[in-house]
Amino acid sequence: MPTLKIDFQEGFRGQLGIVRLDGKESFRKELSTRTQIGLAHSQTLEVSVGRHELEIEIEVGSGNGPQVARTTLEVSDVTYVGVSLDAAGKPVLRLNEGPFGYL
Amino acid sequence: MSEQIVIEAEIGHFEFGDSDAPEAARAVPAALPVQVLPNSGTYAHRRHQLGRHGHLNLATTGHSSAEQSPEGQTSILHFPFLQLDEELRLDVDGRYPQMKASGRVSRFGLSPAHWVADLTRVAPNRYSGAIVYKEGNLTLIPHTLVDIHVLRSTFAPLALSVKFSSPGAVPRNVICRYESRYFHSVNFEFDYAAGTTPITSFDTSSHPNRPATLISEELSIERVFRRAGFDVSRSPGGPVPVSGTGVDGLWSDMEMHDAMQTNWSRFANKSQWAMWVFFASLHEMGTGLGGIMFDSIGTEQRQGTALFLDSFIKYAPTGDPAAAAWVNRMAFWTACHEMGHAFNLAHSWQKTLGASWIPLADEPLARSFMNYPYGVPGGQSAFFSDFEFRFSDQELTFMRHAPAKFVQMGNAAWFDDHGFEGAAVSPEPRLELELSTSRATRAFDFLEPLVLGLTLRNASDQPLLVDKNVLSSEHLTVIIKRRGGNARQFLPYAQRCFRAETLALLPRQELTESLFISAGRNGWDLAEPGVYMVQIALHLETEDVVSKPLEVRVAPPRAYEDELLAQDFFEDDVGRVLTFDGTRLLASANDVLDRVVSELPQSRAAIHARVALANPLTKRYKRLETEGKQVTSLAPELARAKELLAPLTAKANVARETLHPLDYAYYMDRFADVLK
Repeated sequence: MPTLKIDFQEGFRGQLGIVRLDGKESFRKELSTRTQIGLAHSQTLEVSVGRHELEIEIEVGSGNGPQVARTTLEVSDVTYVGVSLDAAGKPVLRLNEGPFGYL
Repeated sequence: MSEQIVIEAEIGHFEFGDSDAPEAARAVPAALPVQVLPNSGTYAHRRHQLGRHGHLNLATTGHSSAEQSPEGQTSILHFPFLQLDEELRLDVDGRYPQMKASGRVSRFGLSPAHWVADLTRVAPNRYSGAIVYKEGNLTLIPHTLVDIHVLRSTFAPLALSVKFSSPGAVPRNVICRYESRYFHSVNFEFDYAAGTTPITSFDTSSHPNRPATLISEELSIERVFRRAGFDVSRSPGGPVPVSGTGVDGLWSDMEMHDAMQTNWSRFANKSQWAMWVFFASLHEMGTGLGGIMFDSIGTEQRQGTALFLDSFIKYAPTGDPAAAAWVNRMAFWTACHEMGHAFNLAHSWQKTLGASWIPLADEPLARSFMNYPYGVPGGQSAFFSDFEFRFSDQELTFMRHAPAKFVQMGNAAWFDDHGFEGAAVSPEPRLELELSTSRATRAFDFLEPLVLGLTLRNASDQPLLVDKNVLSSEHLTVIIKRRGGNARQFLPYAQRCFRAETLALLPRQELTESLFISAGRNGWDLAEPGVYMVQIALHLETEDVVSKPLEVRVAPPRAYEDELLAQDFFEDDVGRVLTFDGTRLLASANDVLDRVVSELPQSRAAIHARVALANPLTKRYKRLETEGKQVTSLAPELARAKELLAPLTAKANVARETLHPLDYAYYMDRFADVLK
């Protein structure tokens, strides 16, 4: 079965990350980046072949609304998505052809 | 040719006629096979070099060394404990010069100060510039400018004179003796999982994609760090049994930490300029992790680092013209990268994260060991075509010139395991400093903030003039040492500046002050259950006064709820709010304090929380809005404040004891109107 591998990478400091696939919540977790490797968490989801809507929501707390990033993916095999937060705390998605490497 | 000779030649790195070479070196005929050392390196003026009267016998140079008066006359120092120890790192030539000098100044062997100056070469062997960074006991470095003159023979520096000055201040001159061409010493041990071959050197000519100017050499890891300024030694390494991984054969951080403790010949629970480098097959995260500075467990971190030779770093890009060399280069690069983390270097794109020692800039394009080769535009091919196997300038500045506690592996505080034992106190102290707690048991509850009492007593038979605020924290060096742990210097959140106000302290008369020492800029130094030793040195103009050690005990948590709350309570914001008696700005800290009051109402911590919550409610509270840059004013909430402060009278004995009698009296006076 095809898989979607989502790596939460740079910029997380305890924010709650929520993953929705085709509108349905499939994952949520508080995330903190291990700065020495630039990775907070790696989550693998099993998906069907075809087109999927991926939504990443980051709850920042302190009365501010959530930050959301969305993308449409055409999944046939393993698809790698990296999620980092920019300076404003907004999630930025990055697709990779192969697995991400960390050092 | 031995390795040592090669290194000396390379560190000196002067071709005759090279514009970077010292003037003396350029005057030497080119045919002579000599080594010429640059001016850069470590210089020092140490008290133990001084004779009974403060003179240093520099037999090899003919110079005497001691602190000098502005007129240049050497002082006769009858009181060696008043002298300063000086270390100075000059970085003006040699490999990757940063045009900086940095220094560490200490007195009594405690509470040092650290400074960094940007330099310009103003004359042959002479450099001057402004001090741009200060840290630590700032009273030791009141000046803002340095002027450095290197004294050298034809082939090597011998000493330097440095003049510290600033407008309107009396300058200070020091002569420091040359000690080393390096800035620090460090030891590496390379161990490996059985069946794995460590890669600790790389033939720089083996891969065709490289800078045209790159020197062809067998480059070792040691040489990389020597060029960064470290006097590198190497402990013999060896195999680590694969049984350390458990049944899966993959290494977890914890397993590597255990292996480090078992197999590293230099392992110790203290900070040291030493590092364990472990070569293994794979981490439990799988092939996606090429290496990691895994040692983020416990209090002494950054001592161990590992790389995984069967991870993604062993796969050269398809079609690479020298795949084997690519793999070796990547493994070599990864080792240096992970070792860089152990020197506390962040990734090149993370420099602006967190609290850096000086303002740093992100370097996403840097051709540095700390940047991901495949993260730059053009990918790894572009990276290695322009990579000179070095760290960036701001990384070198950090490694060479930042206070050692930031760089040294283990990151422990100064004076580990020594406390003030090395202090040379006056044989006939006129003042006594005594530490006390508000209870005979000296035992504190878990979560209970700790307030000490300080008493300064005139032990002489004559009146003494002291500053009224002499017991304020900027005059103190506070060392906290947990039993079985390292000593740490307590760094208060704020340094205050008082107008000098002298008073006469009569014989046996005392000055008293309280000191909140649970949390400071180092974090919560006194929080975990255990036994702690606290000792304080008071710095006066003419002498230092060192207290006897005071032992205090922090009790274990009484219930699971205490432990749960502790995760939020021992945060920096909460420490600041308790220190400054409240806030109406840091909502998250106030939330935690509210929880302490509601969830642990009978605790002593709740009394501290109540004071911090109530204090800002007792008066009109001004708040600076960062957006719009306006000051808003919040009305007092006296009813709520009164409710919060009720235990100060209802449980007066407990409140007095936990807040400390001095602070309790202050609060009762401050809140008198509210408590009516």
